[in-house]
Amino acid sequence: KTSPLLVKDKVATQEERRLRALEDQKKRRRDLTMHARNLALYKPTEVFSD
Amino acid sequence: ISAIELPVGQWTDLMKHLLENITTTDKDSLKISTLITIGFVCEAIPSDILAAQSGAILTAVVSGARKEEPNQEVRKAAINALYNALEFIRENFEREGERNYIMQVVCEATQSSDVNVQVSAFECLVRIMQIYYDKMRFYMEKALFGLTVLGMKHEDERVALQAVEFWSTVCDEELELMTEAVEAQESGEQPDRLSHNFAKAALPEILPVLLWLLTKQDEDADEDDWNVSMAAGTCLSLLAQCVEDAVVAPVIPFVENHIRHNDWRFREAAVMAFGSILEGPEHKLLANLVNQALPVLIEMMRDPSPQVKDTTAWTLGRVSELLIECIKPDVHLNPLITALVFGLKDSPRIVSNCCWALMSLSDQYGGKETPASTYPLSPYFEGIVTALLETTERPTNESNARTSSYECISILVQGAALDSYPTIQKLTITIIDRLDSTIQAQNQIIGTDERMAHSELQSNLCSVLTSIIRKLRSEVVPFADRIMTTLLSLFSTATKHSTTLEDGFLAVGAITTAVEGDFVRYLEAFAPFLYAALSNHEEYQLCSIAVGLIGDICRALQEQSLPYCDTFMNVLLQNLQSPVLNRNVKPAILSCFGDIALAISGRFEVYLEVVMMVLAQASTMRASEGTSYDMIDYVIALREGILEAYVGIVQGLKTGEKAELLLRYIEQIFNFLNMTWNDHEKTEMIIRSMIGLIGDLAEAFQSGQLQQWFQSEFVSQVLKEGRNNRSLPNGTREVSRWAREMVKRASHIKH
Repeated sequence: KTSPLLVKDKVATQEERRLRALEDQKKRRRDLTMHARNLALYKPTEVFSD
Repeated sequence: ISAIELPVGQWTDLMKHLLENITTTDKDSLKISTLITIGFVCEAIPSDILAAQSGAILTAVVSGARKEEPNQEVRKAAINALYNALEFIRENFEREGERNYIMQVVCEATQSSDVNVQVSAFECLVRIMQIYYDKMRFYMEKALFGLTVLGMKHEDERVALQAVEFWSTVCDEELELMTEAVEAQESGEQPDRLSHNFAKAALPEILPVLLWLLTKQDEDADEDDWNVSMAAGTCLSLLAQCVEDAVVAPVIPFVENHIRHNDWRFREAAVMAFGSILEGPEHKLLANLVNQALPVLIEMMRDPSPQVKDTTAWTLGRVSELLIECIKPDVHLNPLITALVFGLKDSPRIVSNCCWALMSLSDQYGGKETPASTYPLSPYFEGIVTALLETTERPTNESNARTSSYECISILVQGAALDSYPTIQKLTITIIDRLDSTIQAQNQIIGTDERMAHSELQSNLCSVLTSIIRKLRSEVVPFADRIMTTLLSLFSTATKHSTTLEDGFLAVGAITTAVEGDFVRYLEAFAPFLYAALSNHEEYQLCSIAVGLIGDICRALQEQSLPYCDTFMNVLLQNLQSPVLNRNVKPAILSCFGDIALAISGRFEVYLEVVMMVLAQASTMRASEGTSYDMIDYVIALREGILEAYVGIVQGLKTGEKAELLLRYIEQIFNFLNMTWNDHEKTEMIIRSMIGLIGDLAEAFQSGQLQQWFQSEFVSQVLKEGRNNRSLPNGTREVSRWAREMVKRASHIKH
């Protein structure tokens, strides 16, 4: 009968924050490269983001 | 000592002397010490080392555990030794005759007149079930079933606890087997092991006992205690996951009969039973019951008993997390949120449970990528945030209540709809004010505990701030100066080793995305802290975040980052060579090269030679056969980093019209792609990046310079994988479509 928050320690919380930031960075990097690829493939008005 | 010496062939007569002790001495104390030693030795050394003596060891141990042994202390020591030796005697246990004898001795020991022997015997049965589940069918039918049901009713709690643990172990094993069966079915294979469905068969016998045990709470139990009602709750929850729908019908009458009982123990047990069965059974079977129970549970958040309120808050958390579809926004949400907000004023445990429930509601109703104009929590958003902010003002973090409240605010912000933005903007000011206060209070901190609490508080505040910035994006711009001023003071006061720096850096990373090129205004002031973190090799997590931040800054500043790139590149290259820096930072450095190349395009020319050399060097890293999982993960991360670097460099130089500089490295790149493709350790991310890189190269060299490379067998295979593998996510298929088109264009050149 313990909520996940009750047993979560500082180390686990910190690791979650790091992973979230890393994921965000990877996504932004992917979006940027995909944007350039779409520019090469389509007209600017048809560009979509990943 | 034996754990060190026996594996290297020393102290070969140790076991001979120990076994002599058992057979020749009349001194019980010597027997007990010897049995304890034998148990520890068996546990500590690989079983093949004493394989030749395992029969003699087993005989000595089991003879001490028999019912004929008059001294119960000796018997208990022998059973404990057997417990420790259970893995060691695997070969003996495989033989039916020996197994029968061992099981008989352990089962008889559960009936000893000495309760300590009984406890040890039940502990042994738990371990046997864990290790030898597959062999237990016969013994379950003949003895274990009856013994353990009786054991659960034992008046001595230590025995009852082990008997309940036995059934929790059965459920654990059968849940594992269920997972294995699903995985086997998915891959069209037969599972290696089969479930005997002991839990389902035993349900009518063990369920009433578990429900009865739920009412045996210890009124004064604190967080670290473990008692029979807690064990029964855990077992019931595992049982529900294991037997699924079958648990519901027999539990509901217990809940209905006791939920309004005068005695708090029965009310608490009823709520506990209800909360425990929410995971496992089909949702449609539970939906109606949850619907009926919700108003009662909401009301019980005002129960006079703290234990009842605690369990009710936990159950509401379970409902919010597992059965959100049962919460009807127009019927339940108002009273539910009122009850949860009311709970935020209660004891720290209840606060944590209420935060968990509120976070689950936010997660499930909240918008993910693009925020909706409104959502079901919008009418309550400001009220919840205000109540949580009050909770965070508590002076201590008992039961994680303060951290839970901050985490809950972060999650609420992440899920918020557009109509809650004004509240989030007000929250921004509150959080910055609080962060400022903690910085001002920095000098008044005395003692390690206070320092740690202070650092955790600053981390929590930074984390909320990061969530706010990520959510508001460009709307955070009016606050950017204040945020950066506060963060810079935070960095100048934080100690080198505190995690506050990490969380502050994450907030800066979020700011770069929000303000983009305007970040240049802060870079001069921020750079010294960034360089210090990059050189702080002992704190590799901080260093890793700092490396990521360089990428963030380059993405935000684009060519404006050029004046800083020499320093960035020097520090990154130094870090790659550092023997002290944790290797896990290195893949991020490689990715960062790609970020820099993308930002400064053709100006990356000056770094090209050295970076290509580094990438070639990193490409030689392989995980050999039988290597550790850690090493395999590292090599995968390294290859992901190399690919991200190549993608950034190819795209950057192409944009800067300097792609021809790459021609002397083409063989290096394709050799790396070929090697990576032929390694079976490939992630989806690696496949996607490989396809993308092939496309980038094709786009950069449209005049047929790479035609022979595009015709190679592995390139066709990579592109085919992207086209035909239906399990790849949409993003990869999209990259694949694009790459095929580019390769087609680069391969059909009109000369």
